[in-house]
Amino acid sequence: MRKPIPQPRARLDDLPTRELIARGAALLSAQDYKDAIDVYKLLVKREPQTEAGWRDSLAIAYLERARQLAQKAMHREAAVLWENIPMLCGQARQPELYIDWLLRSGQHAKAMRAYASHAATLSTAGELEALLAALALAGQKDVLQAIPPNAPLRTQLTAAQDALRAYSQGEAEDAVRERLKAISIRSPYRDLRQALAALLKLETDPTGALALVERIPPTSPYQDLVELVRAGAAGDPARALLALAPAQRELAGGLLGLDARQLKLLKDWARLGDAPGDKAKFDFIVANLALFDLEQARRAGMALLVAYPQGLKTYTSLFGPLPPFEAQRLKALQAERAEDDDLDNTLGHWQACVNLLRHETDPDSRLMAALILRYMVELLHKGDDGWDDGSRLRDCLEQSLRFDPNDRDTYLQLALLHKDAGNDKEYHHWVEQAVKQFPNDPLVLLAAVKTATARKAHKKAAGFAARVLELDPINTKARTVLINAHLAHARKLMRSDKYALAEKELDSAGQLERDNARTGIIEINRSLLALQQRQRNLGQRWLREGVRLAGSPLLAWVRLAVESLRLKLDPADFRRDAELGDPRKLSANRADLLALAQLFNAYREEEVKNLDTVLEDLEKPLQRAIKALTSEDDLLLICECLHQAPHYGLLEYAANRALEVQPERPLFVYYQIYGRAEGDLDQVKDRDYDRLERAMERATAAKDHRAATAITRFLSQSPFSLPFGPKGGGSMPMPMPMPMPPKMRREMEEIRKELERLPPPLRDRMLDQILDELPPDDEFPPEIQRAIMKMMLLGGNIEDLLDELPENLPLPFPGGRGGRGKRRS
Amino acid sequence: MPNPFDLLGVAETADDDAIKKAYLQRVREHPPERDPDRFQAIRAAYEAIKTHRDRLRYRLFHQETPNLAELAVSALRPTGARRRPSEAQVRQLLNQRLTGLK
Repeated sequence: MRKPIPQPRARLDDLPTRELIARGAALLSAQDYKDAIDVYKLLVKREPQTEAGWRDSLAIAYLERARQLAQKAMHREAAVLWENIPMLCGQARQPELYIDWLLRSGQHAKAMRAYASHAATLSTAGELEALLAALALAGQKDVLQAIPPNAPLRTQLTAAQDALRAYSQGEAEDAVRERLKAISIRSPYRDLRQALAALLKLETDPTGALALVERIPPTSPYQDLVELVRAGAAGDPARALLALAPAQRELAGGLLGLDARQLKLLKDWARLGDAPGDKAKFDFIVANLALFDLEQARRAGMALLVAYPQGLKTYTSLFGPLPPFEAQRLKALQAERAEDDDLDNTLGHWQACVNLLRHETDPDSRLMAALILRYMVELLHKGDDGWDDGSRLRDCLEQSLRFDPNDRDTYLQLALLHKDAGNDKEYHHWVEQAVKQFPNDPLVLLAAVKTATARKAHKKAAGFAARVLELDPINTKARTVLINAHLAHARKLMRSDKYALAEKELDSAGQLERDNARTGIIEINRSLLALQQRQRNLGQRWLREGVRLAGSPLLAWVRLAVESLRLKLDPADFRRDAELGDPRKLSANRADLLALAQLFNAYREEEVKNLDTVLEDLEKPLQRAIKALTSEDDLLLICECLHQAPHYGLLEYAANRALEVQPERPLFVYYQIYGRAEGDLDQVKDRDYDRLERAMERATAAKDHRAATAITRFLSQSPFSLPFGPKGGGSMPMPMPMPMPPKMRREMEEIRKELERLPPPLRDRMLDQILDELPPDDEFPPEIQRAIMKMMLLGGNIEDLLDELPENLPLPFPGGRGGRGKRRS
Repeated sequence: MPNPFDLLGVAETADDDAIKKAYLQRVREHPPERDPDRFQAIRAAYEAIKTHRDRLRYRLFHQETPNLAELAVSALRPTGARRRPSEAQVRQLLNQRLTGLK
């Protein structure tokens, strides 16, 4: 319920009585007892003689407010408020609460007096009596003195003390049980009886002990004893002990039979807290070493040395010196963890580990050497700053295979690295090695299919794909590859007029195609084959079937166009036979667009060229379909497809639409400008250039790496790219070529042309003059500034520039000259 | 990631079979549909140490500081005689609870 807005005091006094009455009632029902007290006090003050229920209401407000305070453990304050009640309405309301609050705030004498005077009216005498009894047992003098000598509580106290004494002094179970029997079931010490019985039971039957304490209510004064029993009976007592308060922990430890050293360990462990530091953990191990399994402790200590190298001396004195390999491994892990994270240093340490294992002959050592080298590759990948040409990665992987030739992924990774580096021969070699080592591995065989296809060895590719299908009949990729291999071979045969053989290949492809995955491509090729042989009727029939299977007229047209172009035929020649009509008048919907994007991705994997020309005739229907798109994800997919195709006009159109849906998203801004400039940075207008820069900033700030990378790649097309990234580096990779704004680029180009026209001696003089007049720059030393400008005006590359600079010149990028990754050997 | 050996409840010297057995046992205790987070942790632990090669890799490169709980728990197995609390200790416990006094 919403709390009424408190009114200023002056206004409360001004309120008429009727209104005060209403407000008081509202505050009571809103449980705002503090303000209700003020209102009712005012009412009682105004009309003290009235017989109205204001005094009662005030008493209620006091009582409830006191309860609220007690809930916040403000027992003393609660008791003070309660004391107002008897004066107001002549009777004490719920005196048991008052006595409880007095006891809990340590006012035992006062509590005992109140207990004596209200004894007849106490409603929950049992609980209060149990509390008083517990205090008496605990030895609280005020309570003890207030109990009359012949009161039942006195007799019961004696029985409880006897039982506790018998238990604590280690009397036999039967003897203690006899004493416990003297505590009656109605005694305020009945919970103590139960708790002591459970403690006794704990010694022989922990489960039975747990059952006994279940009967003790959670409000019982003996709950701490209950917790001791629970911790002692827990399945994992060590952890249960940690949850106890220190005093309880020590008692529970004793109950379990822990000795003094174990109790100290427990204390140290508790002191560690939830998230101890590495030093604290190390010290804990050292301080309690005698209690641990030595080998376990040694391993834990060594693991801690990575984060706490200062512990090495202590470690050595306790466990002896580290073996050379472990010492080196530790250095490598420490280097990796270091804040300055010098990759070369880390790699150097790992390489030293490999060197230590190099001459070992046992299988584990050789495998470890291989694993370390592969781990170094992971580190190199993570720390890739753009300088490395991949040779270190390849070297590490090759080395690792010498230690452990039984790692499929390493072969494939190595092959891929060579492929990326353009080393086709090495790429094929490593795939071949993988096939030799893993002749029945579908992944390796699929890689072999790729290399064979790349070498136009279609028969070989088909052989590998067929093998994959033997091993894994539901491997869709292999099936597709095999079909494509047959199709590619069929096309080759068709182009050389070997129609009968081509037909056989198409039959083979058809046998592989699953009924539920037919795309029409085989039928289209059959039709083209028939039409080439002037079998028009047959060609038309196949073509119609191909169009039907393609799924939609748009996709059918694309498939027909691509297949025609692959056979060096003009698709327009078959338009009538296909009965597709004018492609510009086709209609397309969202599903067609998404299917088209998927189809283009597949074509790209097959390395189909000239996809942009296929789209020429489809501009209008595609524009209409793009205009209807509203989903950001759909538009992203289409933009990406058109970007890859590439079709600049449609890309710009799709990006325009995407920017209507998601204005200023960096990637869409990039697609728009890239399309508009037809992928040529020189054609980017100044205004777009600024937008691109802003998009780059937003992408970097939002960690939108996809957009940032795309924009960076586009901007780095500039022949006048500055060789270093922006100040601070941001999250862009180093080195990051920084392009010049178009206007500046044009000016530089003019100067460059002017210089080219001059005879060499004059050109050098002019160049010197230009370089001498360069304004000072805060970020670049003059030597670097001159070198950069010279490189930009006369051509050259960054490597030459760096080699020409004096040795000790600090460069404005991390690591300085020849820093991380550069010229690594 | 917590120590995968601890998580699966196997010794660091356990072989492939023992680790797989422990993994399946843990999965039965924490099936993915009932306890997806725990299951993921168990799965990750298994992946980290399931083969000899994985275990070597784990030992070479893992950098998690050790979990001391296992170490401490093994050191806290009762060795001495059980001791009952004294009267004074029980009184002190009661006083602390009822009055907050030490």
